[in-house]
Amino acid sequence: MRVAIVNTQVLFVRGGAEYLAETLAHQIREMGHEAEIINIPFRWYPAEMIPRHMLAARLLKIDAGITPDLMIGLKFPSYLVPFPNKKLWLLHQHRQAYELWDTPYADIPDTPEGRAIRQMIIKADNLYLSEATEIYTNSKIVAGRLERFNGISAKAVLYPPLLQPEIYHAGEFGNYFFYPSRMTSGKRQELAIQAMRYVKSNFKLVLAGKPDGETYGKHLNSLIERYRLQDRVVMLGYISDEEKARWMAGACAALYIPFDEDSYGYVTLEAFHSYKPVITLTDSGGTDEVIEHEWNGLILQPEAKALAEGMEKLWSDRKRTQEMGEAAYQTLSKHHIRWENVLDNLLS
Amino acid sequence: MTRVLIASTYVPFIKGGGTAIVDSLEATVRKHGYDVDTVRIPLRSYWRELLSQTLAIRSLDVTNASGDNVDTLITIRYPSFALQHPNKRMWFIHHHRTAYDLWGTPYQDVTNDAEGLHFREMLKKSDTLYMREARKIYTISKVLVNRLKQFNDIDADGVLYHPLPNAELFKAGGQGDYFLFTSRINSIKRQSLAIEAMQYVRSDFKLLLVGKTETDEYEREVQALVERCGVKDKVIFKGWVSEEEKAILTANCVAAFYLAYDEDSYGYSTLEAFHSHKPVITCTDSGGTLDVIVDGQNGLVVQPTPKAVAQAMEQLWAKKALAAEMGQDAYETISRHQITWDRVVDCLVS
Repeated sequence: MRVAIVNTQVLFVRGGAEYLAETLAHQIREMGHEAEIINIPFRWYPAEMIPRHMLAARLLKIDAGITPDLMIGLKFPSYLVPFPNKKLWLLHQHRQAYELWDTPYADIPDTPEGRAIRQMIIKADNLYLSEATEIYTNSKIVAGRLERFNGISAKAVLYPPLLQPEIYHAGEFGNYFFYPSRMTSGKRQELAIQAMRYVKSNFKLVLAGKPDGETYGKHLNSLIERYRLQDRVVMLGYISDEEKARWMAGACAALYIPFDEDSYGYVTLEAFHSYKPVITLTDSGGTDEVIEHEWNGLILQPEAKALAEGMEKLWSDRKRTQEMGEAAYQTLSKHHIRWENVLDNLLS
Repeated sequence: MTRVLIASTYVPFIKGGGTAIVDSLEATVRKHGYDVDTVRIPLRSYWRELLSQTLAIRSLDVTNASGDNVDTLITIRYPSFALQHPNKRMWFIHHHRTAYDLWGTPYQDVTNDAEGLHFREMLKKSDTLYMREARKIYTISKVLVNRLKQFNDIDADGVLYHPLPNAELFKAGGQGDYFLFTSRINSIKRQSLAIEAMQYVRSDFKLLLVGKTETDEYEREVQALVERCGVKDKVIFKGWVSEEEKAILTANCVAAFYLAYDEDSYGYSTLEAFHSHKPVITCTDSGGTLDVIVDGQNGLVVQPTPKAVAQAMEQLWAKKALAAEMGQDAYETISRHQITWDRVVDCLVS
């Protein structure tokens, strides 16, 4: 079988979606099939850019020379590419037109033009998502939104596993909390830094990941300086997967505190494979599909003080934290987070 | 850090679907310390669908990423130059040839009616319009400079020859008892000419063909030709070989062939021979090779007839010292024409 994975390309950024596309391609090849990732660039700001990129997706042809047997679409707007045998593993729609509309994260303006663009996105989804023969999502939250906003039912949730779970392993109980993630306002590294102002104990916050743009990276650094947290907050920048596995193995616990994400995030899985509990927030979105408060992590109010208290708690009750780490590992089998499960459905 | 974006089109699921030059350029620009990313847009080159796909590419915006400007855009394969960017630089490798230089030849696929003629006009207009936005235009051969002038009335900034991606593999060696022809085997590459030439050869050397035959049908044709010419003992088909094996075969030939008909550029195998200190035999109608191969200096330029090709081989075989001297000059051709990645980065990025 020849499979075209069609993904949306955000220039100069590599994040969860790129990683998922690559792992999916790798896993499909392991099964003896051919797989190729086709990337289509997307710029969504200012909002009038969006319809242009929707048009491009509708006009491009993925069967350029050799026709694939199957297309797997992942993200807006590249999933709009027309193809007869199209399945979707929906990571997210254009969220600014849906649940982020009316929030500070919406960047489509509430003007006649902005509202028209929002309607255009919703209508295109209503019209073209139904071209897919099957729609899966990566989380319950994405399936729920698809149902609520577009009246379309997903066939099932397929939780995305890690590419190389074997590199993650248990380790020491270290004196730091680890938050590896792309650095961008939606991931709220800023809140983690703010929380460190209220921490009394002698542990650190270690942040890893490349900033999406220089601006946010500079912003975080200036916060660290302003609050004189240079000794408490470590910014590692981009690190390799092996380094990440080492840092994770030696952490007290992991943080994953984005705003309203669609899925639990790879960080959560990396922590689970490393027997570490994960601290997340009540408004982080998909994380609560796998993180259960006080069982394999903490689900806290999205406030710097609450976050500081949560870290203090895990740091001080070491035995309890290690038990939660055991539960974290068990979560993986509890939710069938395995590639066999994903491929059985997508390739059937 | 300066952000450089490379954009090109390609054919998914085909190895070497026009991406080798893009991959090498990306790696080189990164090595020179730039922040680089690449956009690879699938393109179905069927003429009736070309303009709508050009519109798709025109609709994409690549001037800014995550709030920061992209400093430079380099476009490679058509019609990626339709992308808009204030600092757009083209490294032009070819037009949609069947609407340009191959119009009126058997390769023309566009229909010769009102629809086809209209398409050809529209394509030329849109190409010219988008090319004119480029701040710099380099091509990979002189042939292409001429075509841009002839068809689009555009003056290119010059020729920027594309260097070998893995030049370090190719080194000088001895002079074995064979001439080497490395290329995909098809009618336009004209391995047939070399095979036919072997029937006129009296001396005791062989013809080595490296590369895969493109279709089963052509494979049968080539085998029939070998049979007909009675050269079964003199022609050896090596099929597909690894880059390492190809380097060894190139290092030890007397000379290499590049006999293709009217190519856009000199081709990788010419450069592989040059890096291996080997002269190259080419034809007067081979196109891009004539940019770099000078008859009697770093190779031989002969009429596209079997007898002329046979004579060229006999000449180099009889005078091996001369062949070696020409091989030395072949190697020097690389620096004479500044075929280096440093120059590519200088022209396209700096």
